[in-house]
Amino acid sequence: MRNALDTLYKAGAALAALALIAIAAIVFTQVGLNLIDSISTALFGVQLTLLIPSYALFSGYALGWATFLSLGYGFRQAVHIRVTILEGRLPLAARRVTLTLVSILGAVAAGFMAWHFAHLTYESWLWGDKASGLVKLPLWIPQLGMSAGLIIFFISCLDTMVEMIRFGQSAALKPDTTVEDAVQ
Amino acid sequence: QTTWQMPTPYPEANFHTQNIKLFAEEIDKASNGALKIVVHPAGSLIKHAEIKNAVRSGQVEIGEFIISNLANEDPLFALDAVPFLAASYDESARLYAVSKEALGQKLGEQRMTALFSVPWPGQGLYTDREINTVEDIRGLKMRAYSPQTERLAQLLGAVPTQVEVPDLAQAFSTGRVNAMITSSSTGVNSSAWDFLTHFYDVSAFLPKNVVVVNQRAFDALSPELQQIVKDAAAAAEERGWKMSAEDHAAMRKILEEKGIKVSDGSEALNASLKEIGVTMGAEWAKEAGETGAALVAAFNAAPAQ
Amino acid sequence: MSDTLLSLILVGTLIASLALGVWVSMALFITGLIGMVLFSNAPLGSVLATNLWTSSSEWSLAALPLFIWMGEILLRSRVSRDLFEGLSPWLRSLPGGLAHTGIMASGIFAAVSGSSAATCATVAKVALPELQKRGYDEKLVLGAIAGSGTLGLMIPPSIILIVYGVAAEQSIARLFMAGVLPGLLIVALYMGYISLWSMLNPSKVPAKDPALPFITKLRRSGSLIPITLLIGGVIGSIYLGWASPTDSAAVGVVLSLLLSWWFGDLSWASFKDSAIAATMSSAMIAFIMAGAAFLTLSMGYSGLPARIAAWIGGMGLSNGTLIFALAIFFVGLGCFLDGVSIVVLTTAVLLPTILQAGIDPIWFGIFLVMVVEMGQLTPPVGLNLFVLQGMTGRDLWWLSKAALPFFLLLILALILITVMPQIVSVLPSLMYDL
Ligand code: NA
Ligand code: NA
Repeated sequence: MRNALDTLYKAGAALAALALIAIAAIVFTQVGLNLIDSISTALFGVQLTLLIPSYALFSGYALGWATFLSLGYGFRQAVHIRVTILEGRLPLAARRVTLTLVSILGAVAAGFMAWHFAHLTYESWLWGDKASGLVKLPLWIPQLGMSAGLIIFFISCLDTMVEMIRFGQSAALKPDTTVEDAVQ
Repeated sequence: QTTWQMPTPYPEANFHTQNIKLFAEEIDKASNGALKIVVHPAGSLIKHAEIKNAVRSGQVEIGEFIISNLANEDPLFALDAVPFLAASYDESARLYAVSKEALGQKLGEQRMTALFSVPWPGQGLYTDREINTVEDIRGLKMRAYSPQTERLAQLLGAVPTQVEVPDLAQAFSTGRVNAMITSSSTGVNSSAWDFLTHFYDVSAFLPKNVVVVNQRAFDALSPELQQIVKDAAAAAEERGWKMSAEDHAAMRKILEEKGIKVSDGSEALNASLKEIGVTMGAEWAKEAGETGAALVAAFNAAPAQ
Repeated sequence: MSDTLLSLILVGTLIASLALGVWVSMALFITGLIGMVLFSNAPLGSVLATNLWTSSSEWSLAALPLFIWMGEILLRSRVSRDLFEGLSPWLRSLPGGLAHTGIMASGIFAAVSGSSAATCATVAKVALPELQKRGYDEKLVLGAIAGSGTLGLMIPPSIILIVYGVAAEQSIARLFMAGVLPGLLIVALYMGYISLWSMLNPSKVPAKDPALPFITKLRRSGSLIPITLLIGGVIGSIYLGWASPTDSAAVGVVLSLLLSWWFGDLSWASFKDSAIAATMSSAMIAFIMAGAAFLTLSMGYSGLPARIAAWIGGMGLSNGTLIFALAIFFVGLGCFLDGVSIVVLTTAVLLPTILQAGIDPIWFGIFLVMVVEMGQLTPPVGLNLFVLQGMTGRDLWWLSKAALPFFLLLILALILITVMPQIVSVLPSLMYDL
């Protein structure tokens, strides 16, 4: 179970990193095409139609994937920041209570988000909503990836909550981790 | 007392927003404060792209958006954005008259009632150089933001280019784009004189904004209130069309004062553009199937007003 | 329920959930949810989902992760070390020495990036480890990076000036020009402060090195060539029209990868690590921004900021008093909302008052950016503080104390542009009103 969950979070983060790479690739390709076009115009006086249709739209969606699909892993690695000034001054028993409370709040809020985002995706599919612009892209496609991210995020919050309730501690709620710590 | 939240996409000073504020005031007055509409302009509550869905799902009761934003969902929503099909206020009014029912039905399928619809002034051609015939457009980079404008650029022999609105100034000054089709007021709002030289008032098309209300929210009103809303909507539509024409004249003057060379375009240019309009109208009708063909036929048969 | 009570409930919820130790992003969402329940009967879940969707998949934000990734790549290559070795011969004899590099790097980077968070994150990534290694006072250095990160908003390109330009119907090109001198003014104030502080606290600054002959300085600056090429490439791609300001972030990533490969620092492992670390950092920041967007939406439903703004506008104040009242109002809002939200929520309501008072809307845009910059540095919601907390593990309170002098310097800059509005207006009028 532990291994399966950790693999799930990692898979989400890997997909998120791919989405980040995709943003760079899409945008840089468009810049490269602009460059080819301006060279061709300057040297041969020929303007070319070189465009990735709706590249800005696709980059925006990839950003949504990069953010949401990495949430589960990020929360488990304690990358997402909390204000821990008061917490650090509490005795251990009291800290156990506050952290359990935090984990419950997190799980409830994440569950609420995941459920309603999935519903939004379903509605987009039901009504056939499409992006405006050059490409007739159904909105449920980008939304599906973000839904998956929020579901993984919800699972990671449940995981943390169960750990807090059963063991009184969770690696996801340790204070003051930096991103560098998490990656190493 | 009922309160409706109303997101609109355009800034406070825009004539569409001003018209909607008058609409809200009239309803407030006529209903003795029983129905209040809180207008949130400039996408400050809901961003433009989501206003339609926000009304559909009841997040807000009422909202405004530009119809052609939905062009990818159904060809009918693209009708008033077909270039050079209906290229004046009169023609645009005729096109609206023949398509109003179909439009209302399409929006009704998504649980919304269309209250009123007001056009933007005719979309003109902005360029960074002089244009006398369509030949002069050939090879220019033209901004494309929808399948229709992309196709128009192709038919003109221009190179369709994607530029987001905030990047317009940079794109024009660096030559990444040489021409765009947009309204006189958008030109003024983006200070087009900082990066452009010519405006050809060719009135390519008059895209319309529509104000829609969530069906359930509307049905929840008493019959008297419903009537008040309908009356105010009818008044707003009439007023809006006038405001649009006045706005166009005023904005055109500002463009001129700020040093942009404004003209209606040569006869040769307008004749060639009209031809392209016929092609695009036929292409649209083909895509829109039977309904589309019937609409275009009805438009062509309708008497001039 | 009165406006005062509503505001107190919201502020109370936010502070209580932050104090409890709830994640910053989640605390913003929870406060927003409570606001929605109190202010409206709109379907909560569907409002939240739509807002998550629009605020998280936006093109204008796409540059944020790319700039952060660029920082992660540079950090893993010798380019970042070279930046210091190249700058040090010039800065080493100034009081404060290399502590100025954070500010200079921010200023340069701000000319490439449109956001405060991206500027702050990138400079912190590259500059912080080097400065710590050299024994500079951490508080001074982190405060300077937090403060100068906000230059990303003032020195063009700037996301917030675009948002203001659209909302207020002002020329974005003019706004960009107007931001240049105030940006340089802030750089000068910060560098002046660091020099002064270093002279007053000689014990906390590494020993000053003797000045070098000019030729030696020049030769040692050779190590600046790669970073100059990188920044030149990014800025050049914008001004030659190959890339929009947002596109240029991708140019930065590709050039950084090329440099890193050229120096032999690029391996599969470092590539993978940099991508994952950038994804994690940017997701953390983006999720906080989504939370802030949702809280903003909830405030929009309440109409609260608009009512307060209308109230200030309706008091019939003299221009001086009006500016002063607005500054207080915006700094207060800046404690709880992020910059874009503040601009979107209040511009429409305040602009008529501003125009009526005869205040130049371009000047007002710069004023707004400056107060928004301050908001990046104030707790409990200060984006630059969050960025640095995520990178250093230092707590929010410590960081806001470190940033306090730079917050005060922004107030000084605000006073200066109020007394001498020419600082704002001279460049745009030179450029466009010939
Ligand atoms: Na900038
Ligand atoms: Na703040």
